[in-house]
Parts: sequence; C-alpha cells; structure tokens
Amino acid sequence: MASNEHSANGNSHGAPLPPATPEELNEDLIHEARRVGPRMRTLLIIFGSLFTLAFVGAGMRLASGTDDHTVWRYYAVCYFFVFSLTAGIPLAAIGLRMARAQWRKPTSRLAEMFLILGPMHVIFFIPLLAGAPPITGTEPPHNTMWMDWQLGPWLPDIIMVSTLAITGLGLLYASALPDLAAVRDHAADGTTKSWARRVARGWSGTDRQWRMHKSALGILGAFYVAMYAMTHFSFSTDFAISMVPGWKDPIFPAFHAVSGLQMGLGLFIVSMFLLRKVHGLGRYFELEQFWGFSRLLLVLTLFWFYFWWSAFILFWYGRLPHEQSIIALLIFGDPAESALLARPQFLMFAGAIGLSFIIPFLVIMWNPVRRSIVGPTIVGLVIISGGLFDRLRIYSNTWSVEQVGGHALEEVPAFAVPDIWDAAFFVGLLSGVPFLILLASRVIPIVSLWETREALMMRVVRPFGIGNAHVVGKPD
Amino acid sequence: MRNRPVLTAPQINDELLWPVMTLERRHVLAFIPPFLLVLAGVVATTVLVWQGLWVTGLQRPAFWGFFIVNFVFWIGVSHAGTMISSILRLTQAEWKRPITRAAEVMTVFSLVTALMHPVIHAGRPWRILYWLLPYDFFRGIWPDIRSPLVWDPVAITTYLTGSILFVFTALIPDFAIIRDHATGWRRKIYGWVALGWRGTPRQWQLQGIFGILMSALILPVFVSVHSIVSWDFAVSVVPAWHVTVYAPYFVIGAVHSGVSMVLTLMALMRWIFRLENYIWEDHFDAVGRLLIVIATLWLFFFFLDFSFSFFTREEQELAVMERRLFQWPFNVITIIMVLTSYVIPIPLWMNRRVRRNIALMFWTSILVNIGMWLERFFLIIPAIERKQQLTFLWSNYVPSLVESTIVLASFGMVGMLLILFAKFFPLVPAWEQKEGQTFRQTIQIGDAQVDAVIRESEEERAW
Amino acid sequence: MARQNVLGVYADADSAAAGARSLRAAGFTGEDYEVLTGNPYPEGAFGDHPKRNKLFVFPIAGGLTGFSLALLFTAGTQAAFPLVTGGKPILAIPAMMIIMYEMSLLFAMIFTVMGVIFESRLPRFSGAGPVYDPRITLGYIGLLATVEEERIPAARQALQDGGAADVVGETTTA
Repeated sequence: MASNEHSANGNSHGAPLPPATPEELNEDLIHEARRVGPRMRTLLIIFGSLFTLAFVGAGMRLASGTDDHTVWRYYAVCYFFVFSLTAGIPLAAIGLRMARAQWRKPTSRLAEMFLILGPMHVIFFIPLLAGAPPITGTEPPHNTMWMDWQLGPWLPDIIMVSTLAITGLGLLYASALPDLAAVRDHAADGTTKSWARRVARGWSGTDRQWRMHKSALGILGAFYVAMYAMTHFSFSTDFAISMVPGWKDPIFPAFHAVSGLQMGLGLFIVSMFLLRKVHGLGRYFELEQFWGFSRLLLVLTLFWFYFWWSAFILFWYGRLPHEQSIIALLIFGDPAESALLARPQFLMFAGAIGLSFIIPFLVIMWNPVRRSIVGPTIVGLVIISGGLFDRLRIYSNTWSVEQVGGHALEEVPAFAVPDIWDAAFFVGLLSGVPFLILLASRVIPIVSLWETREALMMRVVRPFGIGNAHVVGKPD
Repeated sequence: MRNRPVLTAPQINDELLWPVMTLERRHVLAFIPPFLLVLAGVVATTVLVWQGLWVTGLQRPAFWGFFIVNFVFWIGVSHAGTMISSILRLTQAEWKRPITRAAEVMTVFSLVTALMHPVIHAGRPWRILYWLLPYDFFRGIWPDIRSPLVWDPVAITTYLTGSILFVFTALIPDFAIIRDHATGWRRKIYGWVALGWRGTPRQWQLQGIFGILMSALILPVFVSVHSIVSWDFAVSVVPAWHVTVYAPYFVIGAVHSGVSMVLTLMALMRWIFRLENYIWEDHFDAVGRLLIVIATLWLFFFFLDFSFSFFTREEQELAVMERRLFQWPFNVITIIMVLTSYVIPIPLWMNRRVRRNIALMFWTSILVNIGMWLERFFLIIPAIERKQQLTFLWSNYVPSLVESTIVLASFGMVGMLLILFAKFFPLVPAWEQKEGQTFRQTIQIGDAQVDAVIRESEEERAW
Repeated sequence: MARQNVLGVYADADSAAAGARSLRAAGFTGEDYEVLTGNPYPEGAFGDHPKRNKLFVFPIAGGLTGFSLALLFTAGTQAAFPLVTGGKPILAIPAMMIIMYEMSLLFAMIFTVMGVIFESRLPRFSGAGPVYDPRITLGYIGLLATVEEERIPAARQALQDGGAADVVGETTTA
C-alpha cells in the first residue's frame, strides 16, 4: 500500500499545488515571499509615510492639553479600535495549535506576525494615559477597580500592555526561530545570511531543541492568552465602564475581548485573501483554511450577540434608573432628544449590531458561503467595519461624559465630530499595521516553513475500496 | 501513547452489547445503591407534599433553598452532553466516539432530575401547570411571557426534547445490531424501534449530516438554557444576583461541572461494564486537557463576578460579599469551593501522568462537582438571605432533613436511570466504534508510526 | 419492467471492493447497486454515490413553524389579556424574542429528526426488508444489486466472481 501513497496535492481551485520538496518550499518562502520588488517597495513607502501621521496626530493631541479628557475621545476610539483589531489575531494560531488542528498550520505565522505590533500598542497607549481623567480619589467618588490607589490605573495598565507586547514578541521569535535558521542556511546574499546567523542563535534542529521549542510555544501562548484577557479587562473597565457613573457591567470586559477577537479574525481572513491575490501565496491559503476560519468567525459572531444581549436583557428588565441611562448612552440615545433614527448614539449602535452581528450572521450561516474564499473575505470586511462602529459607540460616548464620578449618568452627552488631528491619528495608526507587518515579513517568512513541512508530512492519499481516501496524521 | 486495540465487529458487538443481552450480577449490584437513595427521596417528597413546605428550611426572605440550588446544579450537569458530543462532532475529534452517548444520556437524565426540583419546590406540584401552559381558555388568563419563570420551562423543554431526539436517532443503527442478533421479545421490540434500518450509504450519510446539523442546532439551545436559568436570578434586582455576567458565568460553570461528571461516568463505565478496550487513558487525558481550559475560563468569569461585586462599593452588595467571605458557614464553603473546583484539580491535571491515572481522575472529577455544587449554593443563598435593605428582614437559611434527603436522592436518580438505560441500550455506540476501526490508519515517518484517520472531504483539498 | 434484488455478502472491505469492480466489469453502474454496511465507510469507497438529499429544508421549515407558533403564543396571549407586569410593554419584544428563539429551535430539531427518518426512507416496522443479511451488522459488507429480471443471473455471477461469501436474492419491486 505504501508504494501507492502520494502527497495530498489535489486541488480544484486553480491555485498552484503546495510545494512537495524542501527545496521548493525554501524557494517559495525564503526567496520569493521575502523579495522586495517594486510593488512591495511602493507599498512600504506609502504605508510608512502614512504611519508618521499617527505620531503627528498623537503629538497634536498632547499639545491640545490633558485637562479636558473629552477632547481625547477619538484618540481613544482609534487606539482601542486598532488594539482590538490586531491584538487578538495571534490567538488564531495559539488556540488552534493548542487544539492540535492540522489545517491551520500554513496560516499560523501570518497570525503571529501581528505580534510585531505590540510595541506600537505600548507607544500610543502612553499619550492616552496622559489624556485620561483620574478615576481614583475623585469627588464625587468614582467606580473603579483600583479603589483609592493613586497609581491605578496608570501603572497596572501600562505594565499589562507592555507585558502583552513583550510576551508577543517572545512568542513570535520562538515560533520563527527554526525558519530563521532556514534563512541563515539558504539565503542568497551575504547580508541576510549574516543577520540571520545572529538571530538564529545556532539552531540546528536537534530533538532536544524541538522539544524545548514546543514547550516554549505552549507556555508563551498560554501566557499571551491570559494577558490578552487581562488587558481587555483593564482597558474596558478603566477606560469605558469607569468613565460613566452608574455603569456596572461585569460582562463588558468579556464582550470587549470577544468582539476584539471577532474583528481580528475578520482582518485575518482579509489578510489571507490579500496574500493570495497580491503576494501570490494562494497555495498556502487554500479553501480549507478559509472554511475553517469562517466557522470560527460564525461562532464569534454569535458570541458577540450573546455577550451584548446578556447585559442588555438585564438593563432592560431591571428598569433601574442608572441602567436606563446606560441603555440611552450606548444603545438608543436620549429618548427626550429626537426621533430614534436621528439620534447619533442609536445610529452608531445600529451600525455596530448590523455589521458585527446581523449581516455577518445571515450571510455566514450558510455553508456554501463559508466554503468559499470570497464569502468569508467579504464578511470579514463587514465585521471590521462593524467593529469600528462598535468601538466608536463605546469610546466616543463614554469619553464624552464630562462628570465621570457619581451615582448615575445625569444626561446623555451630545455627539461631537472628530477634528483633523483625530483623522490623522486614525489613518496613521491604521497604516502602521500593514507597514510593520510588511516590514517584518522581509525578515521572517510570512508562512511558517517548519509547520508547513510538518503539515505536508501528515497528509497522504491512499487507496481504499475502489477509490482513494485522504489520510490525516493525528500525532499524540 | 497506548497502542490502539484492533477490534473486530463481532467483538465490538459482544463487548458493548452484553449488558443488553444478558443480566449480570455486577449490573444488579450497581443498581441497588442508587435505587435505595431514590426510595428515600420518594418518602421525603411524600412527606413534603403531605405536610406542606413548613418541613423545609425555607423562610422569609429566603424562599429559594436547596431545591433551587440543586435544580441549577443538575441543569449545569446536563450541559456535558451537548458540550462533549456537539463540539467534538463539529470539530471531528476522534476521541469523542466512546463518550458521546453516555454524555448525551446524562444530559437527558440530569434534565429530568433537574425538572423535578421546581415542581417539588412548588409544594403543590399540580398547580405549577397554571403558570406554564397556555391552556386556561375559559378564564382567559395566560402565562406571563415576560417572566423568566416561563422562559425557563420553554427552554428546558426544548433542550430535553432535542437531547432525547439526539440520543434516539443516533441509537437507530445500534438497535439494528440488536435486532439482527437477538431472539424472542428483544428481536421484536428492537426490530420495531430500529425502524427498518439497513445501513445503506444514504442512511449513513444522513446519520453523519444529522450529527452535525443537530449539534449546530442544539448548541445554541444549550447556551440559552443555562443563560435563562441564570436570568431567573439576574433579571431581578436582588443585590449580587443582578449581574450582567451571570449568563455566561452559569454556562461555563455548568460545562465545568458537566464535563467533570462525564469523567466520573467514564471511570464508572469502564469499571462496571468492562470497557477497557473502548475508554482508554488517552480519553481521560483528552478530557483532562479540555477541562483545564474550561476551568480556567470559569475562573475568569468567577473573577469578573467577584471583582465587580466591589466595583461600585454598594452597601447591600458588600453585605452579601461579607456573608459569602467571612461568615459561617459560607466562609468555609467558599474556601472548599475554590479549592475543589480549581486549586486542587487543575494543577494536578497539568501533569500528564495524573491525567492518565484513571483513579485519580475519578476522584478529582468528584472534587470538582463538590466544588461546583457549593458554588451554586455560594451564589444563590447569601444573596437571597440579604435581599432586603432593612437588616431585621435578613435571615439565615438552614436546610431541613427532607430537603437534604431529596438532594441526595437526586444523585441516586441520575445513577439509577443511567444503570437502567445501560440495561436496554448500549452506553457506547457500537457503530461509531466500528467506524473508528474502519477509518483508523497510520502514517509511517522514519521508524515512527503516527496515528492517522481517513478524512472525508467533498472536495479535493491541497492540505 | 420488474426489477429484482440480489445481495452479495462479503467478509471485508477488500473483497467488497473486488465485488464492486466485478459488477462494474459486468456492465453495471453505481446506479444499479447499493452497499449495505454495519458502519459508515468513506463515501464512494465501493463506487456507489448516494443521491443528494433535501434534509436542509426540514430545519428551515421547522424553524419557521416554531417561530410562527411562538409569535402566536407570546403576542396572542398577551394581547388577549393585556395585563401590565413589571412596567413592561404588553408586547415586550426582548421577552418575546427569548420564547421565539427557543421554539424556533425546538421545531427545527423536531423537523430535522423527521427529515432524517423520511429521507432515510424509514420507518419500516416490519424489519430490515426483504433482501438482507444479519451478518452485515457483524462486519460483513453487502452489495445489493437491483436490476431487471433478465439481468439477475449476470449480477449474481458478477457478485460471485467478486468473491462473495454468499449470494442471496428475492423478487421485490415492480
């Protein structure tokens, strides 16, 4: 039977077959994917230039003063949107690695590449801390996790986001180490060989090294997940819930984390699509990966609604005055103000629930949509825009509340329009994402060589009955 | 990793169907203890119905006591079936095969047991129908659909019906096996319930699709059931109950206790029904790993609930927390709860050798369920005792003997029903075991043999 | 024209595959025979392909039925006796949604089970049917050829040539 075996390279989507030999893989992922052609150079210049706008926007915001936190509302919107969008993507690699899913292997590195954004999360968080109002020791007293500790939330939150970033970089490095060794061994030019030799740290692939490598990925991955949850907990508590008097909502940190994961997965699927189309890596990001991730996207979409509903039904049912004002602030707007459709708060909420739940759910619930490449990509784009509306509704509304202490929100604050520096910051921060990832992909192969090889080893086609059957290895 | 045993179809039939085909002493012996517990419960319930609710420890304002705690606990345990069988079906996990049916059946029996509690708790069970069913056409008064006490029976009925259908449909191929090899009345009855099953590719294909479709349908029900149970508490404005995190917190707690109960059940099945060829150390290892994730998620939600109790520094809420953390007996209950549901089992389960030690897994899974039962008590009772703003309206709930007996009997009832089920139906799906044997493969890499399976795919795939 | 069934019973998958090849070599197609097995095999392992089913229609129909009944129950009963409780509207949409959600899923599940039974061409309370062998649930594999009367000898011969442990037949459908 063994003589009849061959790699499971059949493909009905017109994409080239995955390379079967180590040489082909090296050619593809070390040489081709890391090449800086004219198009790549142009992209890097455009995104790099735009990225500088983030520094300009942050600088101008700081220059506008830190006494009035409401001026910082759109800075908060942009920061928390980009953080939510990108910090959860590595979980697509960590979680599925823990679950021992074979199909995710060619995609894990792409998910881990988003870890490179950790330092950016830290750098742009610092001005936000300057702009945020004090939430400890205020009069009237303030709801806060930190009681009367004067360093809260500044110190714990900066520690949290920095630890997340450092863990992430450690995880990316650990994951990339065997591939960096491959770059060291097979790069065409001397400069690349030279730096790769330094960073590969003498990796030679001994049995002991692989075992340590596996443990490192497991421990760092678990730690990253824990830090991810705790960072969302702190961010959402300190910079949303604590900003509004009378808002007590323990599900909100979980909603914040899950909605971040959902929009992150949306961006991840869009990134896979772009790598197929722009980078010619279609053979690594195949239908099976889109199908697998779109199922997760459906689950997260349902969770978005579930976590939102869990809070809403209590506030709606309880009818307590301070909860009614939270519903007005974050969902329906002030009933005394104007018609429902004219209230900015409601329009933001409608955008969030429509684009994060209703439309994605109605589309992606159908298997033929999930089992396609374009379907999940479009849904991913819709979810990203839903995520933007969601962070807009949360942070623009909560940061507009002037009196942050007290028992209940007295009135729903008016909607304010972002200024030019908010826009610059938004464009700049968003451009930083592709810029830093493209830059990192010049150093680290964007598709993992070692995991791809492992995946190829674990798939064969064998005769069974009068036809052939796909056999998938399930080690341990 | 253990070498997976190669089993033939006749061997699988013999080893899995013997409790159905014959009556052995061990089966009878296993039946007696839970049966005695159930008898005690019947006596206690009779006393309660005859005498009225004064025989319980319920008093103003603590009108919800052991029955409601135990109701929530058993609803929680029922989540194991769906959790294990649906999620593992959807993710095509191979190790699901010996576990799914027992877990699904446990869902059914836990639900039935849970449902009894509010009925008994009503004191006059026959009156319960008035608030549940829209049948009172003559008076024109209908159930209040705005009340979570109506949402609850609707959700539980849905879950129970779905679970029974899930178990029954997956049993049909096994009924056919019994039909083909039994004689006398068994052949006749199983022939009837096998519905004429022949094992055509179309029938197998539909069984496969059914497993996935039903899993996808029942998962949202599973999440909703315990969420709705949590809203029985949370939509009220009782301090420490009116908490937005209650729904997912209850669900994940339910999954934690339910999956632990599956571990307990797996060990018992292996010992009582000699299932060593089917339930291996690998299965305990896999469930143990799953439980580490589930328990940690539970801890996260526990942390959310706990930390937000202090967030607003409201007096009433702090009074409940004071009762939970510092006053007898809740201070001890809290310590035991945290130790048994997380601090002891999880570090142990981090060790692969512990996960593969069946006796240790059995005892640690029981620890978790002690902890999770106490967690329900911790969540429900102190809050209702301190429900009122005025301190002279506070009370301390002390359960009576009648209540305690009925709680113990509920464990007997689930055990008894499971043992009875095993007498008439195979607890491990024989056809799924045979499927596992058919689909098993190995891949040779160097000198190593890697376990592998045949994956069905509708399309040729690159990966 | 009258069609008859003839069943070849094979001891294992390899001999059943040989039987399937033999049938094909004798000019029979996947439409002329079906496989009977005691457990699922990879689809198409013996050359037959089950026709597409319409199972997906059943949960959709069930869901719509449940939703409509729930709407009737929640809106109808409250409108029939409009009693305000807890300061909530008579038609309290969030509360109604919970019941509509549950009942939609309840009926979707019930209809799905009905669909599986119906699409599996069940129930048949009289047993497994006229041409069947109980050894199938002992791991044997049956190849059941359903062909015109005059082709029965050829089918029987092909099944035998494929290495069947037994070949049984009986007149059935018209």
